[in-house]
Amino acid sequence: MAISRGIALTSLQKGEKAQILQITSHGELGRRIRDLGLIPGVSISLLGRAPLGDPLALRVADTTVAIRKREAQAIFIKR
Amino acid sequence: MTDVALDPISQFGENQSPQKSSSDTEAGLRTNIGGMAYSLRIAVAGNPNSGKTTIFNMLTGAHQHVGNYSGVTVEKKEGILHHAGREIIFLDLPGSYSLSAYSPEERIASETLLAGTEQAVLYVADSGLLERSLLLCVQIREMGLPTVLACNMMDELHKQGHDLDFAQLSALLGVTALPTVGVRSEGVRDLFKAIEHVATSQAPQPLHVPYGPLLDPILAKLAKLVEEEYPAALKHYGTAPARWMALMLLEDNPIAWEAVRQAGDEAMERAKSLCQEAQACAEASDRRVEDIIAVQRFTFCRNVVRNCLINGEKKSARMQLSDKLDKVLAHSVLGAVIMVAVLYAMFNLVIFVGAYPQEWLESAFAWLSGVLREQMPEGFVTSLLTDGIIDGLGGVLSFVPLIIILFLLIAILEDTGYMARMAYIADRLFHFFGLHGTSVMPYIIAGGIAGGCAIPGVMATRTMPSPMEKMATMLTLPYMTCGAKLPVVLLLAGTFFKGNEANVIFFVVMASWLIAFVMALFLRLTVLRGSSTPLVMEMPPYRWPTLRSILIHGWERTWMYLRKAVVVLLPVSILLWASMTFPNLPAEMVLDFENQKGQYTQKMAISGISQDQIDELQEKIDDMDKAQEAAALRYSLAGRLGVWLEQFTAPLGFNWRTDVALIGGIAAKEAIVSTLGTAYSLGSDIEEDDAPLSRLLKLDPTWNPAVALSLLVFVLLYSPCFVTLVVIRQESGSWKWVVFSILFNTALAYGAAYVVTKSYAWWGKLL
Repeated sequence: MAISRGIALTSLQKGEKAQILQITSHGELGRRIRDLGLIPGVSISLLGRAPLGDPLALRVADTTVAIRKREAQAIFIKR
Repeated sequence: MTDVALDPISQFGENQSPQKSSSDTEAGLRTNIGGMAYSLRIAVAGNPNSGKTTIFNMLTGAHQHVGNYSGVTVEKKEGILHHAGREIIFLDLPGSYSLSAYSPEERIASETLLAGTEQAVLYVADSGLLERSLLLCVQIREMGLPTVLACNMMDELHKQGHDLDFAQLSALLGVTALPTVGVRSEGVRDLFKAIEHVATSQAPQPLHVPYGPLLDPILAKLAKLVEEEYPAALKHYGTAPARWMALMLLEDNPIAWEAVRQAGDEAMERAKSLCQEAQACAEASDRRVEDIIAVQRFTFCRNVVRNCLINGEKKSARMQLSDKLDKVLAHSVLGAVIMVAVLYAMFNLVIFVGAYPQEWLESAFAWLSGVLREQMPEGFVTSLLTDGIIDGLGGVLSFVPLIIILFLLIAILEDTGYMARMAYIADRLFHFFGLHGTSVMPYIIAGGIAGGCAIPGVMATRTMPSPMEKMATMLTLPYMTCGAKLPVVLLLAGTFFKGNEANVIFFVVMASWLIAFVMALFLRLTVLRGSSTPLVMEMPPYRWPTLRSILIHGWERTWMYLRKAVVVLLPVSILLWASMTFPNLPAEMVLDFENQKGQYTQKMAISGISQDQIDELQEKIDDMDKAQEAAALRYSLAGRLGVWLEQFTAPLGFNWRTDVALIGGIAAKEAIVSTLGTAYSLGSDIEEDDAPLSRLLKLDPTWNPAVALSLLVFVLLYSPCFVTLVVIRQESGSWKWVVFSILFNTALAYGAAYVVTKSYAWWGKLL
């Protein structure tokens, strides 16, 4: 199953661009993530981090999405 | 512009009656039984931040009705209009991103749409973000509901150098698509016509979104299974097609599965095995069913937008300005500094500006009660009216200016989009204590910066997305230093820590935050145990708020506070007045006081007495009045309770007078200082000038800095006031949490005050 998993979103550096490969969470959290446009194939970039390094601010399509590191760990990307 | 928007009907003019044209269709008959037009019900749906509420306000103006959905604390807003003899009811559904039914808001939205009570949907989309906005619109169309699509904020799209082909958009989605600019009321008239037309015409075919070669066959099988063999399950799905229910089953939607479960175990098994088959197929190609559905739906929307977007010259991106602002406002260091500065400025504004009208209202009530006291005969009725009702109402109403200003500022923070940044910045800290980034606002309102009020604070938890964090926030925010606790802090600090008042206030505020955080963590590890709700949140672009929406927003909440406060406070203040009045002093004790006063009066009547002596005697009579008042309080039910409580509060250093004041404080914290004034025979108007009370406390041997500190801590933490308790009941939906708040907080206050007393003594010995 894990052939194309890629790297975790949390390892992205500020300003870096990437493409989402896979989202491993399902149920409510999985739905929330997908509702906000975070789905496989979409390009994202890391806009910045909140004070104390968490949550992260992502650019997804034309929106800014805030997501906690814990939740972002379920999102795998390729640079 | 504004008055036009307040009554959109007037824009139609006399000779335009769009309702007539469609009455010959089948659905037209539906709404026209026996020549009597009955009401049209229109659900207004859309993503958060799409301008849905602005459109709703624009359509319905002031004709709104706000209530709650039964059983949940989700706000239900309806706007009722009359047009051409027909009633049109707009129902503002909670903003959501999908119909997955995980949060109470989404559940309400999807249940309402499924119930078949709404004739049509007005879907509000953010034109600058059409792809994502259409995701929910497409779902509503898949359910088969007739829909008008308002492409809102068209001005922003134009600014980006684009336009839309509305005919194409309407055709592709099976909707009537129209441009609007909610904040400028552009497009209302056409919107109105379209809504009436769509609601009274025959419903269009449900939208068919292709889910790919893998899922489409399984969807068809599931739909067939449900439709042909278990139509009972489909009943829960109103007018929605079987394919929609099949899709919900594949998405693991709890409502859909519940419906199938009720249809029987066999139905459940067969549906389950089909879903498992789908999941297995998906996993064989290293994907998940949820992803396939999401990607397919997203691709569908993208294709629709691609076909409808008329590309002009690309002038600017949607988030360009917001990104620049966020570089500073959401910066990992600056962001926090600015947030604290914004909050500080906000509260200074509330306290500084609000103090004037508050003073006027207080003096107005004092004047009214003074006039009544003079005009009416002394006795039971006058006392009830002045001490019970007017003083009680005055206590609540004098806070209204503060609340109005506070809510207006909060509406600005929300409408500009800064509130989402605050949640983003504060989340790490709040999450550590088992709370949520969105807890920051309720905490601040409740008195996180001295001077707030727990009542609107509790009410502000309503919009929090997470149930456990919401409860933890609601139950711990009464520890904050609300405006009504401040007079107690000021009195005690001024009396026992002269010169250190500022430090004491700072200590109190810091202590309240620390205790609230620690208690929140404690609750989240015990009675409110449960994993934390994920934070996945959109940060909308910064926008200029409109005066109109701020006023509507601010007014709604003020009205809610006012209604609750008055309805609850009136009986409570009467109850409190009664417990502090009855039983009356026995006749022989009253006689004692009257005799002594009589002696002074007689002396005053002796001829040849000097003015100085008269003044002196008058002062003695006044003192005697106050002593009588204090004796009456002690003799009353509340006084006796205070005396009885003395044995328990002795370790904390509280005497019966303090105990009575604390009992009064449960009704409203404002009552603490005034009750203490009465108990110390100073009369209840001590609030105006606490210098005499301060002197007395200093002379009273039962008082010392240790007692003052322990009382400070006790007042900070003990039972929330009655109005707060009622709002907790309303927002938590259970009396259980009200009882919990009273008992737990008072026990905590006792424990903390005890620790403070002991450590102070220990500290004293050490020095």
